[in-house]
Amino acid sequence: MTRQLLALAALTLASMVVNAQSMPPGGEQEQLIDRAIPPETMADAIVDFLPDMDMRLDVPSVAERSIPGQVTKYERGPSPLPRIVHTANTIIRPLERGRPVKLFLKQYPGRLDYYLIAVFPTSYTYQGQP
Amino acid sequence: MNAKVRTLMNRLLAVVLAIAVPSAAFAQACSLGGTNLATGTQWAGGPNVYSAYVANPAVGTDILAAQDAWLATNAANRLAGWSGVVTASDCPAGQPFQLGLFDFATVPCITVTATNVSGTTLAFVDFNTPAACNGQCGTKSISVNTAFAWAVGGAPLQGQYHLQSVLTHEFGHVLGLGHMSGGICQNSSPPCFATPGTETMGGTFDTGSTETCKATLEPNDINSANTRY
Repeated sequence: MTRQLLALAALTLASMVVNAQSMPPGGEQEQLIDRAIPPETMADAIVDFLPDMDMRLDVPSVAERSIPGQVTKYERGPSPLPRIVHTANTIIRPLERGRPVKLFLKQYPGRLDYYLIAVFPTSYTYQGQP
Repeated sequence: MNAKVRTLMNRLLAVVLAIAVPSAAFAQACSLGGTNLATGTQWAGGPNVYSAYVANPAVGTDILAAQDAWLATNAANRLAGWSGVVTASDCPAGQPFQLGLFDFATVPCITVTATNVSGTTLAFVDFNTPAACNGQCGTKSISVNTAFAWAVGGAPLQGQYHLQSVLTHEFGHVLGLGHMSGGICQNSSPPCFATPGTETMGGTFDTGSTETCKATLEPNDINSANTRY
């Protein structure tokens, strides 16, 4: 019983330390976080990709755009991959020429092309099914 | 994999819009800068900061529509006068924006940013309460993770997220509302608003992600806000 109480006290103390570290100096900052589904659980294709050019995908376009570049690694989906597309009227992080990224893609219904659902660093750690 | 199994998996993998966390793990994200989605004004931030900006009226329209949804509640008085989005100078003087027990009278500001954060954080609300305020003032902001594809001004394709719906949900958090227990919005016939558990503040989001119904408040959302305000 005593051991259990000691363990509980230690855990409580550790928790207080962690919380204190999370607070900015002179105040308190909290976050309320909503989580997305891990993109790997939805993607039809996953590739490592080297963009050929800078692309401002954070600016929505009224027309879809092809994403030019080289697939350097196929993790899921067909190889070679058909055209990769940035869907019209969507925003997502920009791509930079020569900066590798991991693309998560879905296939358009009734088309060969694939569209972006997520762009992560190649170091992305899978949260869901690999 | 046949279509039925795939559909079932999609349902099971419904997004969990979950977890209210005063979080140590995401403290780093708090310090990231971001971009005012409506005006393109860029704020300072660390090396991982989303470095571009979005200056698109359609984005601003979605943000304002998300905010306007709550005008149907008693929280309207708290929103009145707020010009929308949002730099510090836009914050309406003398318009306290209440969050639960906190009264943001001195810095009544909301920001909506686009931030590239790690992991599968979809969106988050920051509550910053300076110690000097003794719990009576502070700022808050809404951020969305631009690692994911966001549909602007219309319905998303599968795997993408509906910006207006998620922002409406986040504005609910800004107003001090938590998640309601409920099911997954089916986004089909019958209309999702007739399906139990499809409240804007519901804790789950259909991954099929053609879901747009959270952009519209349900009676439970309205009642919840009215109770608070």
